[in-house]
Amino acid sequence: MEVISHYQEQFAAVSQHDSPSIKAYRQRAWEKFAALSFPTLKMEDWKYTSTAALQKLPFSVNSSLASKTSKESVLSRLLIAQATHKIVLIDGQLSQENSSLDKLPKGVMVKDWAAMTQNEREQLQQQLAPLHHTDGLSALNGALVNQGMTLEVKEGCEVNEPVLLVHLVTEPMNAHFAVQQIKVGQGAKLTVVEQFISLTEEPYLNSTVQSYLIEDKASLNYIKVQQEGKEGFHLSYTDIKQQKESYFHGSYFALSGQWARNTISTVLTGAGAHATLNGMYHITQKSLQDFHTLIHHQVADCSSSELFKGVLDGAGRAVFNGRILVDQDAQHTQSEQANHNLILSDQAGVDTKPQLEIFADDVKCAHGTTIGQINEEQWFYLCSRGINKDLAKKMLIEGFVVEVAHQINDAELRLLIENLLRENMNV
Amino acid sequence: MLEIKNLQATVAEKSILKGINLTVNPGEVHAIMGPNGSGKSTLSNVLAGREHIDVTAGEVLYNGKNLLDMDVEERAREGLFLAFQYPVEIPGVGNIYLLKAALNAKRQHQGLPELDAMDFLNLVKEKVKLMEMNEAMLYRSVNEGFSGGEKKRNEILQMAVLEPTLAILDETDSGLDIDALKIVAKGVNSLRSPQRAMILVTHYQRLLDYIKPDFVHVLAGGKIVRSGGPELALELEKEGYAWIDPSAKQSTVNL
Ligand SMILES: Nc1ncnc2c1ncn2[C@@H]1O[C@H](COP(=O)(O)OP(=O)(O)OP(=O)(O)O)[C@@H](O)[C@H]1O
Ligand SMILES: [Mg+2]
Repeated sequence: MEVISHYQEQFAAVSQHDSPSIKAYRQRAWEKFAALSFPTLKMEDWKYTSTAALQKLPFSVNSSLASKTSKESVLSRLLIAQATHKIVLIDGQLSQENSSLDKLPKGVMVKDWAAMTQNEREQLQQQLAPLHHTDGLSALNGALVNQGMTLEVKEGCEVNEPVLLVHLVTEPMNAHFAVQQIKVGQGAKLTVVEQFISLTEEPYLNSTVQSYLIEDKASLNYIKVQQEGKEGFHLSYTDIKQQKESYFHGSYFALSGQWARNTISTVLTGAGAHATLNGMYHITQKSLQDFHTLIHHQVADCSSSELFKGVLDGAGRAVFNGRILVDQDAQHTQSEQANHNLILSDQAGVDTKPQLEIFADDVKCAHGTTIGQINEEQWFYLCSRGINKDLAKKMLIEGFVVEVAHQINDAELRLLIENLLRENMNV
Repeated sequence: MLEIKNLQATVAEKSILKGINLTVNPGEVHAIMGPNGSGKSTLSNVLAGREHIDVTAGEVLYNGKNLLDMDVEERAREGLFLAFQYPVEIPGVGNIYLLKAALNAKRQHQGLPELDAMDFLNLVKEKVKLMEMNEAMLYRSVNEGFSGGEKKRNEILQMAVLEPTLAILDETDSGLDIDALKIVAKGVNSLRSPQRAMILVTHYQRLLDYIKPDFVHVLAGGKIVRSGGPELALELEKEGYAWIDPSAKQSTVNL
C-alpha cells in the first residue's frame, strides 16, 4: 500500500536521531504496524468504524516546525484563558509563552518530550509498550511518536486548581503522534482539563497514546474537550490503572472533527476504587465519533458508573461500545452504564453496544441504551409557553446532554462545560 | 375574546369534538365540566395548538383573529395559556430557564425589551411567593420529580409570570390537597381582571367555591349539552351527569 511506504519514510526520518534502544523500540512498533496495518471492518472492534478516509491522507510527521502563532490567537481559544496552571503545546511543542507552570506545587513534575533525556524517553516507551501493541494504529503511534509529556504528582500532593493541557494544531496535513503519562501518587489529587483545538480547517491527525496511574487513595478528575477542526482526525488510546481506594472521574466531550476514535480503558486493581466514565458526542456534519470503553473490575468492592449521551444531526454517525468486565474475584461490584442517543436527522445513526461480561455472582450491574428523537410532548409544552420551535428544540437538546456536565465535580468547571455545551448546541 | 363556532375535531380518525359552540368575553370565568373522555382536554389542546388533533369543521376566533391559523407559540405570545392536565417533565431544562425564555418571547412579541436579570429574578421570586413555593423549585428541571400537586402549582406559577389574557386550566384542581387548592385559587384570582378571561375545566365544585364562575357548561359526547350559571355545578355535584346526558348512564370506558 502506498500509505504504508509513505509512513515508512516518515518512520526513517523520525528515528534518525534516536539512541539505539529507542530506535529498537520504534522498530518493533513499526514491525507490528507493518504486520497489522490499518484496522478493517472485518475486525470485531472496528466493525462500524472505517479507516478508509485515514488511509487516503498521507499526513507528514513534521516535528521541527517553528510555530508563528500569535499569543492572542491562542489565548482566545483556550477553555480557561485565566487558568493558573497551563500547558500549551503548539503542534506538539511546548509553547513557553503560552504556558504557565511556575505556580504548580513542588510535588508536581511536568516534562515535555523535547526536554526528556534519551533515558527518560526510553523509560516512557517501555511503560507504554503494551498499549503500543494493541492494534495497527496504536503501533503506528509507537513507531512515529515524536512528542508528548509526562505529568507526575507526588504522594500526598493536592493540586487544587485544574491543570489546563492544550493541544493546538496550526498546520494542515500534519500528523501528531504523542504519548502522555499521568501519575497521581498515593493520596494525591489532580484535576486535568485537556483540550484539543485547531487553527486549520483542513485535514490533520492527532494520535495520542496515554497511560494514567492512580495510586492508593489518589484522585484524578479529568475532562477532555475535543474541539478538533472540521476535517481533523482524532485517535486516542487511554489506559488507566487504579489502585486501592483510588478515584477516577473522566468526562469526554467530542464536539467536532471529521473522524474520531477514543479507546478508553480503566482497570480497577485495588479494593474500594471507583471509576466514572462519562461522555457526550455532538455530531452535526458528515463525521464520525467512536467511543470504545472498558471498565475492568479485577477485585472486590469497587464501583463504576458510565454515562454517554449523543446528539446526532446531519449525516453524523456514532459508535459506542461499552464493555464492563467483572472478574470472578470482583464480588460486591457495583456498576452502572447508560448510553442514550438523540437522533435529529434521517441520515444520522448510531451503533451502540453494551458488552457486559460478569464472572462474579454477588454484584449489582445495570445498563441501559436508548435511541430516540425529540419528544413531541415536551416540544409542544415549551412552544405552548410562547417559545419558538427552534429555541424550544435547542433547549431540549441542551437539557438532554447537560446531565453529563452536571456530574462534573468541580463547580467552576461544571459551569464552564455547561456553557460550552450550550454554545455548541448553537451550531 | 374567544368565539368557538361549530368546532369539530378528530384524533386518530376518531371523532371527538362534534360541534362545540362557546363564546367567552373579557372578564368572564367559564367552567367546563363533563364526564371522563367527553373531550374537555381535546378542546383545551385544540385551542392551545396541539398538532395531532385534526380540526374537521368550524372556526375559532381569538380577539377577532383566526386562532386555528396561528402557530402554537404565536397563540401563547398573544396571551393564550393552557395549564395542562398532565404537565410534562423536561429533564435538564431548568424551570427558571423556561420562565425566562417564555417571558422574553412574549415581551419581544409585544415590542418590549428583555427584562434584565435582576428585574426578572425579582418578578419570578414575587410569583413564587404568591404560589407559596420553595425558591429551590426554580432551579430544578421543569416538573422533573415534582409531585402531582407541585406540578399543578408550577403551571399556575408559569401563568402568574406570563399573565395571559385567556387562561385555560385543564383540571388544575385534580390531585391538589385543600391547602394547595386554596393557593392555586389565590394565584388564579390574582389574575382576574376585566380584561382577562378564564376557562376552568374541572370535575369538582370545590374549585368553584374558590374561583367563582360566571358560566358553567357541560361537555358530553363532544358537545356542550347544557349551559347555565354557578348553580348548574351544584346540581351536577348532587345528581351526576345522567340527568343531562342519557348516554352517561351506561358510561363505559373503552380501553
Ligand atoms: N391520541 C389519541 N388517540 C386516540 N384517542 C384519543 C387520543 N387522545 C384522546 N383520545 C380520546 O379522546 C376522547 C376524549 O379525550 P379527552 O382527554 O379530551 O377527555 P376529557 O374530557 O379531558 O376526559 P377526562 O375528564 O378524563 O380528563 C377519549 O375517549 C380519549 O380516549
Ligand atoms: Mg381531560
